[in-house]
Amino acid sequence: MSVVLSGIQCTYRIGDRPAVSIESLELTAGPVGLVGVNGAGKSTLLRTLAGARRPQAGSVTLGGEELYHRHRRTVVQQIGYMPQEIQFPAELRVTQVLAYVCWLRGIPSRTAKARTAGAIEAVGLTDRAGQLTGQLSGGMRRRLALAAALVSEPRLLLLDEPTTGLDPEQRAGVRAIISNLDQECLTVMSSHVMEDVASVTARIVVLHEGSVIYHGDTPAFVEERGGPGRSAEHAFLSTIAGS
Amino acid sequence: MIAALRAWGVSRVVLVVGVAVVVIETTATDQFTLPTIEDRINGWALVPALVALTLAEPLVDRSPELTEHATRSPVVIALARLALAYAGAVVVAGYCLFSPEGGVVAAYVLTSLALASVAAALIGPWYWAPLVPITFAWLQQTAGAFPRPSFAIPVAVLVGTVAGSSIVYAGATVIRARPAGRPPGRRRRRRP
Amino acid sequence: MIGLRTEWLGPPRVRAALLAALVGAGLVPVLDRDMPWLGSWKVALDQGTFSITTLGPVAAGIACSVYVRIRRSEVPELLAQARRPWLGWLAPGIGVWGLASLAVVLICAFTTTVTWAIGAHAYPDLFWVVPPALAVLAAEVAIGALIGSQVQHHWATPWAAVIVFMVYILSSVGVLPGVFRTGGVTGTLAGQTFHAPTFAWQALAGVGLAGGAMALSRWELFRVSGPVSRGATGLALVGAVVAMFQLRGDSDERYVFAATVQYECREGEPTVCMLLETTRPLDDLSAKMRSLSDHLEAAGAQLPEQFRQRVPGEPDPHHGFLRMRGDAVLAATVDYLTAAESLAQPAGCSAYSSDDPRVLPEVWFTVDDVLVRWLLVQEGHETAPSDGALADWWALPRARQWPWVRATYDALRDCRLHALRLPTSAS
Repeated sequence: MSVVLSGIQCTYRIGDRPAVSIESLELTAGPVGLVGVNGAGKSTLLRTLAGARRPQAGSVTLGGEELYHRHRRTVVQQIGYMPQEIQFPAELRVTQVLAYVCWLRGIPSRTAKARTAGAIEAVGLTDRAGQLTGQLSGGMRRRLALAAALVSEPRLLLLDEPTTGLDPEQRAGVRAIISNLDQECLTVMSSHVMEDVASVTARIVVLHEGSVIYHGDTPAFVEERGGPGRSAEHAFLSTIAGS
Repeated sequence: MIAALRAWGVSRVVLVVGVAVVVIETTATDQFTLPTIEDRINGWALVPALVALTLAEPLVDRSPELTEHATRSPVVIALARLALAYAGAVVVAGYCLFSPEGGVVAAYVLTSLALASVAAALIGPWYWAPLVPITFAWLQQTAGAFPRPSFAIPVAVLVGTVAGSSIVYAGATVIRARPAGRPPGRRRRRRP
Repeated sequence: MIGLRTEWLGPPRVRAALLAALVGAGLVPVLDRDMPWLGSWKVALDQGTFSITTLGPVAAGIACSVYVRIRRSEVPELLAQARRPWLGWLAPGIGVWGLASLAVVLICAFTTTVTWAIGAHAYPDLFWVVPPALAVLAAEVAIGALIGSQVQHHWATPWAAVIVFMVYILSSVGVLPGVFRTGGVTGTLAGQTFHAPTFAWQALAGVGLAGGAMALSRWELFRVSGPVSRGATGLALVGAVVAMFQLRGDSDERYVFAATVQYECREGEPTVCMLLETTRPLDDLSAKMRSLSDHLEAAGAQLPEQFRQRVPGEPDPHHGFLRMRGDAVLAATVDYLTAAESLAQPAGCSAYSSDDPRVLPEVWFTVDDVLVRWLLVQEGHETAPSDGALADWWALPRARQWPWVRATYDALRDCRLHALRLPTSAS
């Protein structure tokens, strides 16, 4: 799966500076980190890639197919999206929520059960499968959100701040899940925790004030800009400062 | 489909139906007075209003982030939600039909749910807020008269109301399911 | 501590919209068909507090929604570490109650101001009835908060509104104590005032129920609250139990006869006086009565100097009394029938209000009917009947009808009701 963005302009209000303005960007299979300070446009870009926010200008193609055309749903079928915040029906159990997501995603019931079990296993919620979502901790809910994104076996997986609000152990768990994903799947993970991005992704996109100011391999990014300590954080800050 | 029904609160629909049956059995034919309303109110008048207030609840999307990324048609989702709410309403209406004096009420159960579905389409989770004062106004206007035969709703009007409100609800669901932002090339031009 | 204001309800724009929604919901029972409250400031105030009937369930729904949101967030855990966790827990509820109270006060201000603007006498000292109503509103908000906090699902919101509305209905019909009835008088409140003890019990019950419901909504935090909070809530609950026993009986005790009454009069022949709080139709009524009284004077009848609006339970044989139904007392204008009926009662004889039906002779009813009709016929608002037992008398020239009119009117004025006779063509 590859994603190509060209001439993208996303503006919330007429007259405002675009929240996202990307002349050209191509992303190919594998894990990609999307980093930027708060308000850089990460979530807007992810929502645009997820088919949930139509840009005012430009085009987004997924595997050569235009995303925002009349048959958007057939393209969206290939996308898994984990938003920053998600409300689950609190009176449902983990398996029931995923079964509901399968129904919403049009997954036939004969395969939904296996998909649900696979997603639960992938995020390590097997022992919580029968628990009500209202009783899950914050970290467990993030995992469930990830499972909901994985259940349709996407070719493009979009994760908006998947490690936010998690303790170090939970963060490590989520990183491990992302690392174990199929490398044929293009995974775009936004975060402002550089350590998470550096440890999981092969490539990195730095967004600043809605524009891409860096796009390249993650190890090279840290190597070239990370200073004497080879710090991902330092690399990020120096990139922002130099823009 | 069972998962969807569970998520939308099928258990609460069953509970509402049960409560409605108890209300019909215990108070529907009783009469009572309320302040400022001079005529006596028939217990039947409460049934359509309270059923609509609670049965319309499955029409509200409590997990919009999940629905936003659905690939199933929003029309199908809307119709499935309506089917759940109307299934409950039809059971209550059916129970009314077999109760003395309840024939007229049955149509009002469906009509009031139709009104509630329009409210749900327009203001989502706050649909119940205008229905509370409307319920009081309904009791005020129908006191002493409901459910006399003069209140009977013609079948064509009932069908039209239910169909019209369902179209409004489904239309609102489709609009909400559209991606945010204006499509390229459709900017409104200022008149010279 | 979480702000004591309304931050949990959203940004100022949302709060303004919620306030508008609450005012809109509360106005529905106020703006009913005829708006009779326009005729009396007291009724207008009572009608203003009656807005809680629909505004309260909406406020309860909002409170439910807010507490669901709080329970589903990490706030309760944060509050547990706060300096005053209990106050922090109450704060959003107080915010909702504050917003709803503002809506009630605005509605009361609207009804009383409009009534005052069209000429009603204002009794601003009676505004003390609003705080007890707001205490009831607090109880309704707390019930919503309790439901939201315990259920912790947003689907509970409409249920909270329905439950509070049903509580109001059950309270109004007497199944539950009359705590939740906040006004909605159907009479005129002429010569009456609000019964302070009932309102005090109601306020106590409202505060106690509110405190109890809030304590149950988050028992863990209430348990560790300060001794003052726990003590006050406990006392309020005990007070609420006592108050509910007091309010268990007849909820009509909300209104009692005032110790003194004042009249406003329109001088003339006759002088017409109405109670100071219900003078809306006075000008119209006195003009119509004056116009009709010319025919009685032409007949030689002697009118009493004054016609007064009657205070229930007080017969007054020295004045004529106005025979007006409640809707006529509060209306802007009256019909000629009301004016004629009032003129036809030149004294407030005790027989009219006696429990013994034998005191009022049967013939009085027919005589009254004929006299009222005669007045209306003279004024051209009725036609004389051409058939029936009295057709011959009705056919007589006016001057030949006068003796019966004069004799009848004198008997009515002197309360000699057993001296009344039906007219005959020979009279």
